[in-house]
Amino acid sequence: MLPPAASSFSFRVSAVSFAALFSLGFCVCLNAEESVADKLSAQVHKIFEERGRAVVKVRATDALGIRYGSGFFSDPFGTLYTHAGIVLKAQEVRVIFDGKELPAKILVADQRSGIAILKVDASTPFIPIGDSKPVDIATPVVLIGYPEDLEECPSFGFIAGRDRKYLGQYFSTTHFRANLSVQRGQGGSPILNMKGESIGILVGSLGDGSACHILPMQAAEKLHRDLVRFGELRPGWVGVEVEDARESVEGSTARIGALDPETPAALSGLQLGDVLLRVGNTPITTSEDVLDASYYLTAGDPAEIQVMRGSQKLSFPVKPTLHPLAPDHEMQATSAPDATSNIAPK
Amino acid sequence: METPETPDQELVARTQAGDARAFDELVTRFSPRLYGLIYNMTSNHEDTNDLLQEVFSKAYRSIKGFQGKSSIYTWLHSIAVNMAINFLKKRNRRMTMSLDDVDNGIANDPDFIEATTARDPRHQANLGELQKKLNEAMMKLSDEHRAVVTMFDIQGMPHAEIAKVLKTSEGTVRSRLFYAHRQLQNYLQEFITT
Amino acid sequence: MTPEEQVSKLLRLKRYEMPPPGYFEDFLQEFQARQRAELIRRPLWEITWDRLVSLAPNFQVPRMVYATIVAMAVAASSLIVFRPSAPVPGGAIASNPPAPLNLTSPQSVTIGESAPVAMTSTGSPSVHYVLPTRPVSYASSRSF
Repeated sequence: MLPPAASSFSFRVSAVSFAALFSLGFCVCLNAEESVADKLSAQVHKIFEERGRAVVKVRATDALGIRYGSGFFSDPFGTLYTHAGIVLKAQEVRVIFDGKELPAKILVADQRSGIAILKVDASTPFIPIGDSKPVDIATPVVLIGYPEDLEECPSFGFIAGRDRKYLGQYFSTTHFRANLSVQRGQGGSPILNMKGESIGILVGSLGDGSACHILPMQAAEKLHRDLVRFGELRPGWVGVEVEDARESVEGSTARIGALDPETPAALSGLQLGDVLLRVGNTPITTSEDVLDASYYLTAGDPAEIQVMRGSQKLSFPVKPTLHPLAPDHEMQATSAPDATSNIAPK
Repeated sequence: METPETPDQELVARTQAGDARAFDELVTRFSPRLYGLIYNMTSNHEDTNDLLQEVFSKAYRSIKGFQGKSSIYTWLHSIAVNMAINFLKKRNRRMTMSLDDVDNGIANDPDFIEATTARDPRHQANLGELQKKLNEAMMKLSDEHRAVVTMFDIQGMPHAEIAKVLKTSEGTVRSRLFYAHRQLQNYLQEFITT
Repeated sequence: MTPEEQVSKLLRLKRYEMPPPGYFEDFLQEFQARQRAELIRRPLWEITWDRLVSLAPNFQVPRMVYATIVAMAVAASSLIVFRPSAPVPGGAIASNPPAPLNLTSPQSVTIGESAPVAMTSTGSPSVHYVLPTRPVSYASSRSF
């Protein structure tokens, strides 16, 4: 046993050492936390600096006045995505970016997806397209857009889910929902992953703008693909009506309830009561899954439809025809002036 | 999970108490359905937009007198249908009469049908063409028949509800539908397999 | 499928014929603008008449009866108010209804050969910042 004076001294030393160690540890932790926040801030800042130049303000003039929205270039040749609602009735469309203002031509304005594809006659910075398939709940995302009459700015949030409908109304295809602050004027803004790649387009706000709906990039690219291949949109249609069976067969409850007469489905060999397992690249487990299957069908492109008939798994190649409402889904690209007429000098 | 909405009755009560924003919510809630109703009767987007504006103007002016004997849904549909029919009657006075207006049975005469429709049971119709023909056929119906077809077949309203909207009996609704469907089948002979 | 069922199926497809995206947001704005313009333009007597009629009980009585009753009520009130033997201090001459407000109604301006651009009462074009409150949507979708 130590003499009383010695033990009191060693106690004090231990206490001081402990306090010092604790403080050091606390500072280390504090610095570690700060560096996580700093890292996030730096990453968002970097994305904003690198991609912001490719995000544009869209201005459309129509009979109701002037509409402003946002958009972004998806290739170096001046092709850009924006929200169809901005340009659908436009007499003139102009795009503002990088200190320049250029006229834009409307290639397509699709009522089904709510997306428009425009073209300016210039070389442009662009946002590379990312894969929207791995995007899931809690994926962090950055939006870059032009709120109201303010300057371009970033917004940060997380993917909150995937929705097919909202307040009882179905969408054209599954949309992402994100908890991300959005404001008027940002319709058409790109949504980027933390690599700075676009994974979606802002198409709607929820409630007071604290959340939003996003069309996945793969859905927007479907339009672009049709445009490149055919010069127009070609949504496909086979003529199947689906209902939900009470019990699932091979994991699916989606059963063919009707085959519209004289349609590709009716002539394919498919029968009433067949349970759908896959339509093209879309696996089917419930009748709601046909929403996405339908969206990605292209008229003229054969799609394989896999079904269970009794205990047999069968496959039918079907060639979709043009969706019955296709002419109503598009606007012909004629109203905007020719983009070559007055290009700003470089 | 869907956000619960304020019940219609509450929005009506608030509007009647002077809350204009409650009426704005009613406009947002009902304009898609009423748009569909009026558009399928007039086949014209501009006319539909104008008529829909008129419908809500009228509704706002007279909502204080709405006593809730029917639902606000039925009441608004009534205003919309009546306005559309009145509009069409004014428009049609300038146009030639439709087949339905000719009350001498010629439209149902088998020889007349034979002469005017091409029968081809193996006709492989593009569905877009079918829709176009359907729209033309709809416009050949009388305004009252088009109204019941729009409400029943397109909007999925039950007979009883349609009867309330038109302030008529269910029997009248059923017979108008029967007649209208038969007319449409006649006009679409070449596209339907029998 | 019977011919009747086939026709019904085709008719149900017409459910998808909806107006362009953003239409219903614009519609509400247009409606609100019309309401304001209407309030300014309508004569006071018409607004009052509409309010009276909508407040009247729904007895299926023809509107002309209401007109008669109101006219009689007005006549009776005038008799009470304007009785020559009892001058009312401060003057009882019914003043004319106030002149309607005279805000400049929207002017249309042509820009080259394009259609008129809507102007606000201050003369500048109306500006919309676009972000719809919901994505494009359909009533239902169980077919492809």
